[in-house]
Amino acid sequence: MEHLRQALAWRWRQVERPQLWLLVGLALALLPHVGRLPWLLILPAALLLGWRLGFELKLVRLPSQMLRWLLVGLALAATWASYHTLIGRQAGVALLVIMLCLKLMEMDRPRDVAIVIGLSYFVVITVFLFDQSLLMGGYMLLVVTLLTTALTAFSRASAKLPQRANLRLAATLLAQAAPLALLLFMLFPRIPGPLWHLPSDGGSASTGLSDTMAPGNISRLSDNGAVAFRVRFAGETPPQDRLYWRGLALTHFDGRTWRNPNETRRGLDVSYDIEYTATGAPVDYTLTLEPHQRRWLFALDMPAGAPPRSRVSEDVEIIARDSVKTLRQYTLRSYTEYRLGTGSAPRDFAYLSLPSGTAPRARILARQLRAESSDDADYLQRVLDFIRQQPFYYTRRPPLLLDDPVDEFLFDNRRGFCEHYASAFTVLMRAAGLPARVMTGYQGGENNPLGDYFIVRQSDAHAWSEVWLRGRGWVRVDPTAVIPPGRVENPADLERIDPAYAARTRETPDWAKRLWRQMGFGWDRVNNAWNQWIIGYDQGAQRGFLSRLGLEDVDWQRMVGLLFGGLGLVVALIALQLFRHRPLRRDAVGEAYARFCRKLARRGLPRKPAEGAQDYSQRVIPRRPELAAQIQHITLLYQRLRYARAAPRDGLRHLKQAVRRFRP
Amino acid sequence: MSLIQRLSPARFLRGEGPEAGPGKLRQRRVFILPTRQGLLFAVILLLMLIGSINYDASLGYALTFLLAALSVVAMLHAYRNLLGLRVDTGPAEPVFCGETLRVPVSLENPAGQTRFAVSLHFAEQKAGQGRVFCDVPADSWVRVELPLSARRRGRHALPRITLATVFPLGLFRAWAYAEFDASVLVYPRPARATPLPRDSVWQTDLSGDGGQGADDFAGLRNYQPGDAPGHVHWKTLARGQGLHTKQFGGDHAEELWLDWQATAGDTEVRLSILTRWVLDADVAHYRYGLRLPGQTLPLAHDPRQRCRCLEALALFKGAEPDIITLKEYLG
Amino acid sequence: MKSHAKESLDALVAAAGRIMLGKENEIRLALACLLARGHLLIEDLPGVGKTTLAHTLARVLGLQYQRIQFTSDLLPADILGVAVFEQKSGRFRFQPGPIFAQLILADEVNRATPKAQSALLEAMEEQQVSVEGETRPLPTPFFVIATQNPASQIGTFPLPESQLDRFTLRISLGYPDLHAERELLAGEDRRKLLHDLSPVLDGTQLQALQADAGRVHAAEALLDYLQALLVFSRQSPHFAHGLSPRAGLSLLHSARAWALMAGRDHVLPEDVQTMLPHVAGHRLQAAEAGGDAQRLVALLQAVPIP
Repeated sequence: MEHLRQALAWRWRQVERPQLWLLVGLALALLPHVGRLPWLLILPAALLLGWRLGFELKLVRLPSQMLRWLLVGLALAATWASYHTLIGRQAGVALLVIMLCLKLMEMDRPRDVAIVIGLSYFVVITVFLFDQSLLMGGYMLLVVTLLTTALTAFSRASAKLPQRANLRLAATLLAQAAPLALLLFMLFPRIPGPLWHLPSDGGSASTGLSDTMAPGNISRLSDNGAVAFRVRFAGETPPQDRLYWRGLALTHFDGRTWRNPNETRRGLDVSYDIEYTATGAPVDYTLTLEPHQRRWLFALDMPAGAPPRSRVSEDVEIIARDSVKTLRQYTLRSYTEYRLGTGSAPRDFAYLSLPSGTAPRARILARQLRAESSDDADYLQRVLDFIRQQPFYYTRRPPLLLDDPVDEFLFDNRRGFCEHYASAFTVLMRAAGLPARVMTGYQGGENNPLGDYFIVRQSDAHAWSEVWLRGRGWVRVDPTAVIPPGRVENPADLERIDPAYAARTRETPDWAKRLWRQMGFGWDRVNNAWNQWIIGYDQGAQRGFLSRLGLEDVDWQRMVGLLFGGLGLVVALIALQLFRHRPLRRDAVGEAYARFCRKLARRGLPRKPAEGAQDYSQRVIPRRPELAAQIQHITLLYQRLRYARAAPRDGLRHLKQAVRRFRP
Repeated sequence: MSLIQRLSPARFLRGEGPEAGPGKLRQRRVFILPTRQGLLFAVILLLMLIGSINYDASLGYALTFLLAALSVVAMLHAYRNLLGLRVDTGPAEPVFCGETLRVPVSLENPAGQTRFAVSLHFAEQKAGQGRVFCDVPADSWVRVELPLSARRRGRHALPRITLATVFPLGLFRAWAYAEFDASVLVYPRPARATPLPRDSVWQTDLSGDGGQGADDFAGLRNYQPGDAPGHVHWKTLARGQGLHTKQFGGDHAEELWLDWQATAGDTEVRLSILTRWVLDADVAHYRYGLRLPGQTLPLAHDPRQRCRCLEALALFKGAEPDIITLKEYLG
Repeated sequence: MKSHAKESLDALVAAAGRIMLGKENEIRLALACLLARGHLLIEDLPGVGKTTLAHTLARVLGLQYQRIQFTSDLLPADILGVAVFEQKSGRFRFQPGPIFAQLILADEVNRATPKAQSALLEAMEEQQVSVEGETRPLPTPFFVIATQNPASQIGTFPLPESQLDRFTLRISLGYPDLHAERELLAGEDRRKLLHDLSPVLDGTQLQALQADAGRVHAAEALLDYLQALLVFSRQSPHFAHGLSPRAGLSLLHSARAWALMAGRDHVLPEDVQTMLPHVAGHRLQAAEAGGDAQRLVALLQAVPIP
């Protein structure tokens, strides 16, 4: 065993360090793709990396030419098997990764090394296509440093240098490149939108709300603390109970699942004019949406328009042209008090349709209540009273609903999460002939006291109803809100039901929890800034930044001019710093004497580098006899200070003084 | 130097003219271009930029720009790595045709930072051949020996030396030429063992040459088994000081004329034979002289004689047109 | 003390200068070599006064003087001495050779065989001789002045590089200038003058001066300069071989002596520069086959003073 350990240690020392930097850098670059790429490709990639490492350790041989081609074929087949395509984001990345690892099997010439390192940088960028968080950015900076170290190590492989020096050099180079990179980042003209249509990816997993709603859909998110979006209000923050973040309208019901028809009508890119009357003050805000791989955007109920590259649908959803794959930031105006669709009743029977045979008991209840009510509004109120008075519970762990979810919920279990209430309520409305739809989105949010913005998390996901009443138009009704606090199982959900009550009952947590909370807010604030300034830096942000610098309406020619001017300036500054002549370090005595020599040099009597002070003075004095005494004095002092055993007292001061007074 | 001169392609190819003494690589003499790896890197950067635009990945932009900036910084570093270096060469020990000259070259780094992985080679040499790498620490000297294969006899102008570096990232290659007003001497290739011309005049000289012989008493040395009994110094033995042997200085100070006429064949063959003779005569401690058409080197035996004779052979007649400076070479 | 040293040294130079007309600088160099406890090589044509210089120095310094004429048949025993069997006592008695003196003039040292040369040079280096298995110390001070005739090459054995390195300084005398030559021609016989010359110093005074020379201060800055010279000689491509560590020591010691003669208690770069051609010249000459030692010395003298 000891023998083996020694043998391995010996082999380890034989590994060429440049290779090691590269292998480690590449492995770390690939790490974030683990779990994103299928195991069918990740495992071979890891195997190939190990193979190369084994080769460096002189344990195995590299595959032959034949075998390499065979492996290439297998890699293509595995990619095809996983994605049924070789292009697109997912498949393309997978192909790049596996081919790069295969390239490790033939990496002898400098060109191969350059290709491998270049493509490793490319792997880093592919990771950014999926994850651009601050943590990932920092992690990838480390990876880039390692890869750059590999480059430096390869470029001076001929000279034996401590590897730490390579790492330091790479870090220095990156630090020097940083200001230049920053300038490019700020001023390089941003081209909006994709250059060509992105092939759609089947495999990319979406997070957050989906375009359907079945029992359990939203309660599944109730523990998910991930950020859905962040909002910064321009003015006053609306009260908590008005913070309904409108997402998707679900109009089609099959007895269990609510669906959005628009997903199937994708080709219809017509933007509807929203006919509504604002009755309150407008609310302006900027929303930064985390990528959720879906096309719809969220807006405060009720948006006054749609941000660029998106449209408003018939049900007042905001549908983007492309699915949100990267962080998206937009500024909107909303009115929290409004009247929508007050004119004629909606013509679409979809708002009334219920699948036949479903929820028979609910239909009976609806008929009964409607008969007792004076009008539609009264009926609506009676339904809400029914929910309030019957023992309905609000729970995150609702029991399983088997045959008829609506009836079972309304009459048997009476335990559910918001989707159960919204679904059942909407069914009761439709059963009585009132046009109604389910809205999904988010409700509330958490103010970050450190950054003065709202954080809306996945756990804030919510579903409610919209009902059309004659004369009042579409009215938002949140059946969950009527449940008394005593029947809410999880105290955290009280906030949703009754914010005032929640604030009252929330015990001041112990200091550790408070600190943890504060740290959470701090971290979110950093993330928010990262999102605002780095990830969300697009054409608009660029314009805004430039106008803040006092450069309004910069066209692209001026922008390019600005960019190149700035680049030239920064490069010149770096060059100045690099090429600055660094004189050899001199002591004070030498410096004073050098000053004396410079003074004489200006009078045409420079000292030759190899000339001793004595010889110099003897050469100079006949040319300037009037300075003889001074020159002799300085020369003698200098010689004493520099060469004598014991320096004269205050010699340096005298020398400096004499040199200062010396005016040839 | 006018701008036209400064930008002339000939200058770019040749560098500055020859100069004596240490050459300092001034700003205008360092050239820089991307390497093949650098071009590849640029292509990858372009792809990264397109990808970033297409997927609207802000961090992708950031990485692309960071790497672009990195390559610009690397370019500056590569440039600086050569800038201000002082190059100097010294006389190379003459060699025989077919051998390799070792030209001493020194690099002086007067600046405060180390120059890493500077490669030196003769510009005419094929790529990768005779390339020497060195690091020059701050404010110090490094001396290297550059190999130069001696293909023809004669005195040749020292070819241009190329200093290059791909430090720090291998993306850019900075290079500079150093040309010197120096020459190297290549002796003719010595022929295979050819007996010395025994029929040449032999004479004796009374002063002797100190070689071992049997004529002049030169001193005593310790007895070694096998010494002739007649040479044992019996007196010291009688004094009880052990056995000593008398040493005698030789006296075969033969004089030898190495004559062109004594050889046959074409010029180079004859020169080869004469070269071989000079070497053999020198080793055998002969006093020898050299007779070439139109040139005679008198009899002598001292360390310089060998050099004198070999130089005369190297430069003989046909050797004249061999003095080709690089300028003529390039027209 | 130092000014006292300067006075007595000046007196010495003046006394010797009366014999060696117009050769004050060479006398000073020779003295510096002696004070540095080194040995002197004089390379010059015959008749320019090499012997006279040696003899004069011996007289003014009050040193025992021996002259050894080197010839091709000179044996080591002729230099070092032999043990002679005495009939009376029935024992061997060591008969010391001419090397047992304080100032030795080894005339035309390149005429002798390498064997004889090495006998002398080993004695120089070790300050002792080993004859017949017995080690005998040489007197102190011990100073060798060797002369070499550069013109004649026939039948000579030029000192090899390793032997030349043992000489601290090399000087050449050169022809006297017009004024000195006239005085030489018109004046008294040098040999008679030499005979009349009385010593200026005695042995102990000389040894005290040698000790003073060893105490002259060499500052860090000066050592830096000295090292820069040595490094240059080793790194510059113009030098086939650099200066040896012994050359560096010789340079330092002789520069110290030179500073003492100038009445200073510390060495200046100028002292080093003065000694440089004499310390480096013969060493480089030997090392460079066909090299131009003077050019190399000039290169060394152009090394910047740090």
